[in-house]
Amino acid sequence: MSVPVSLRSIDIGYGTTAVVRDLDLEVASGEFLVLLGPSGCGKSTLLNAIAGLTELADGEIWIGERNVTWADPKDRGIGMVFQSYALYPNMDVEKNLSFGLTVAGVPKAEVARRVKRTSAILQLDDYLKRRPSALSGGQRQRVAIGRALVRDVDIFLFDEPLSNLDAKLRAELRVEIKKLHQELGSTMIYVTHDQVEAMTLADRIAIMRNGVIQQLASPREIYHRPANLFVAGFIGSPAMNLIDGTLLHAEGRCRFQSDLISADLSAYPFISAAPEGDRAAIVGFRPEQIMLGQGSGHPEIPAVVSVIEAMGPDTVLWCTAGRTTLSLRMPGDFGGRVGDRIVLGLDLAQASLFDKASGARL
Amino acid sequence: MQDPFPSHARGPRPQGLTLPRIGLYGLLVVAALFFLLPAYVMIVTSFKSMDEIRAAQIFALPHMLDWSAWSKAWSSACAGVNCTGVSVGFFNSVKITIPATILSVLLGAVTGYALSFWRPPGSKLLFAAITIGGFIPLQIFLFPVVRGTAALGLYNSLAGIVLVHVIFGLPLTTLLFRNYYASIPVELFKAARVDGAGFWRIFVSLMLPLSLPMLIVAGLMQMTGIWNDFLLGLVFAGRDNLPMTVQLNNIVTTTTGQREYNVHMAATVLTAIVPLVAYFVSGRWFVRGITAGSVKG
Amino acid sequence: MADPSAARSPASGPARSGATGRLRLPVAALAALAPAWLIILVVYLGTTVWTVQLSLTNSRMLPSNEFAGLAQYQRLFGTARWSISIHNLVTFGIVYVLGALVVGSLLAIAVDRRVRFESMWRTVFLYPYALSFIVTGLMWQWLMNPEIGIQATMRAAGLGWFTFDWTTRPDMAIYAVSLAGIWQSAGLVMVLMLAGLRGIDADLWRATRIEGIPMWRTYLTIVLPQLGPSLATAFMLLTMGAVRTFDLVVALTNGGPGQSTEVPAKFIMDSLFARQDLGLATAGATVMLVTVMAIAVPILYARDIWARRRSGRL
Repeated sequence: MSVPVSLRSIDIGYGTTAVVRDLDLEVASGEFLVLLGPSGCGKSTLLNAIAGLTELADGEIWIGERNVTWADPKDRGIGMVFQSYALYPNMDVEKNLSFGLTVAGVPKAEVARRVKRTSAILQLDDYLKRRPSALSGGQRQRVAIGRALVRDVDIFLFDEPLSNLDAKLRAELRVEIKKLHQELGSTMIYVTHDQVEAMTLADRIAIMRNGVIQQLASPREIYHRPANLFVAGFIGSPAMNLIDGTLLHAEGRCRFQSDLISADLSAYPFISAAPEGDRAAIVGFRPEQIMLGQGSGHPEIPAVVSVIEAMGPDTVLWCTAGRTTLSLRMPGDFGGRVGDRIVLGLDLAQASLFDKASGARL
Repeated sequence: MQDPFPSHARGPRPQGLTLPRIGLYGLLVVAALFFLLPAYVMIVTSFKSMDEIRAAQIFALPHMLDWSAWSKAWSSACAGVNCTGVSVGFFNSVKITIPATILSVLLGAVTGYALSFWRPPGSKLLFAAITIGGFIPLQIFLFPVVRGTAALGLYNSLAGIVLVHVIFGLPLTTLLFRNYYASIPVELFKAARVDGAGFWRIFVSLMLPLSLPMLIVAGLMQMTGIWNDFLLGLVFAGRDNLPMTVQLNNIVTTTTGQREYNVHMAATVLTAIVPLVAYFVSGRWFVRGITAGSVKG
Repeated sequence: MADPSAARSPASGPARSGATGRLRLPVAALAALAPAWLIILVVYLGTTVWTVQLSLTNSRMLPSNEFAGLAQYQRLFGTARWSISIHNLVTFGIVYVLGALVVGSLLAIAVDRRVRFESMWRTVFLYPYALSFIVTGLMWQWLMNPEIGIQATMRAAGLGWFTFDWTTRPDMAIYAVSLAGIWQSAGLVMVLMLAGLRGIDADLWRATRIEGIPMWRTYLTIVLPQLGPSLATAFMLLTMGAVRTFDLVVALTNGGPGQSTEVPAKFIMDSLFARQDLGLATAGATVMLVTVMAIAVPILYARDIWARRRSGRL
């Protein structure tokens, strides 16, 4: 069972301390939505508001058919998983799972049934009698998820649940959360600052900055067609290569002009019609969008290899062209050396073009 | 029951003064009255004339601010045959408190520093002994320490009472500083040693400046404890150095004839003023001192 | 708090002490600890031994070395005044410790509920801690004075039935001492419990709100069990204070009326200085010592175990 979530004109915080400003967001039923952004961007605050833990200055929150703006957290049909797990330290796992239900007056038989079911799904059977202090981080997080699961909620909220775990555990639990979503089909809203989590888990990502959603789209869309410079720089590692230049109109065509390259932009997919007038612009290429070697048919730049990072499955080359440093991805068996002179090919059709002043995608 | 999902709901939830909230503030206000009452009564009574006091209206404000009780309390109240007021006690307390505080804080700092960073042989034992020692009732020490200070010629002297305060302040100050130093990264200390600095050099140039917060806290704790002390002052200070608390008690309990309550209350306020002012100025540090001194590591 | 000794290597280890690296013993550190060692051995240990030894002799006005076994203790427990003192101490102690714990904890919970002007409340509740027990005792003595205190005021205002003269009644005087003690110490308990409350994970509160667990239940079943160390500390400090009570009694009632507020600490002081009975005084002091240690040592030990359990399992 899952329901959609609708946030309408949300304001959180007042005056100069406004954390979220006039935010609209529709989460589809059964969707896995990730709120992604740097610390302080308002993503956790927004999640807490959806949960009912933080008050709104203005706006409405609808869960399904109901306006929950004034409802208590317990009435909203949500379950929440916290970064610090927040398990009840003096109760064993079984009690942790059942406590909320018992307090709500659910009959014992029903409580036992639900605990058993949740325990099976999350593989908690072996530690039902243990206390949280006797569990590992990954086990604790499973119990935390179980606590939400056992209440048969419509919406799952996750507040950076994997941030306290080491890298290996994080990777494992990520997969488990994804499997859980596939099994349950519930609506899940997930907050993180880790782009890898966002890219792998999300149906859609909402990238936030200073309380404003910069882009709301699928991971693929965000990666290949970032809506502005901030999004382009936030997603992707190594970061997108950016080249300063000017957008010109000459002989009825658009051109991008910089001291490194001069290229025709007719193949470039502008958002709307090609903008009027000349302007300062920035063109961006992801490392894997830059080609090595001459004769590619695209505009070419001579460069010198300065650093080689052999990652294993692939290799990242850092080169200097003029005063700009560019990074590109090569297969893992790349045999070049530092100091080699190479030629880079840039396909403008794959690139991203941004207006320098506003940062917006053109 | 009100519908928790009104379709017009928007923005912050309209929250009137709910019953639990009223009860909460009510409790706090009643408690505040309970705690403030004695102080209020004392201050107010000290400004009244004896007639007003006998009229038994302790909550009423004085008709006028009569300072005569205060000047009498300060300079001419009698304790038996001595009619010097508490001013003598005040200066005695100052003479006792300042050196005793400084010395006991420094001793605690050095001891805590040595125990925390250097840990020469026997340190664990010493620290355990100091901790346990802090729990020993003063009554155990009285007779032997009286004999000991007498043998050293320090009994009933200023030096004697200061020494006694330093001795009995050791557990608290050492505890405070050792716990404080435990939270300073040991890398700082190691780096200084690698640079070639020795015990005293590291202490004076590195640790002491870093200890400023704890110096303040320990200083406040000691100052308050020493100023407010009664038993040790009674036994060890001697008639010429009686601290204010002892003098106050003498004045109040040895009055013959008419009990001048306004004078007594003024004297009590005067005795309480110094640590009270310190408290109001630095309340935060007191809180820190309490929590630091009670978390025994 | 995690045991820091694991992170530190002893200073006498690998550090270079000068060019020649001769003495492995940190001489300066030992010298600096000399005063502490001196105090511990001579004063703390030495006087304890001497006092206990004296209690086993038949000293009277002057110390004697004649061994008398437990004769002084027999005298002590046969002394009516001592038995009354113990009895008073137990009554006073129970009311005082429980009262201060309850009041202090309630205040801590109240202040923790995100009230406005928090530091103002804290200042008001804690200022008695900065006062001498003499000051406190005198203040409450006047408040409970039937002629000029609260009782007189209330009666003059028309409430003829109002009584608040505990310090003048043998059956109530000990409760007067408890009341004054609670007034002085509740703020201290509040600070300790508040620190414990603040140490509780904020997400835990959020989780209970989401699960719909009512506040009182949260405090009872989730918060309170976690405050064990804070409660233990408060309990220990209060109990130690109760056993040592001297100043407060002297100022409030001076042991009276009659012997209704006599306490062991005062008994010992009187035996030592007024009645000059060394044997009785040292026997009493030793009994006090044993009592205090019997309370303090287990609690300290338990707290050490708690702390190690917490940091070890992390």
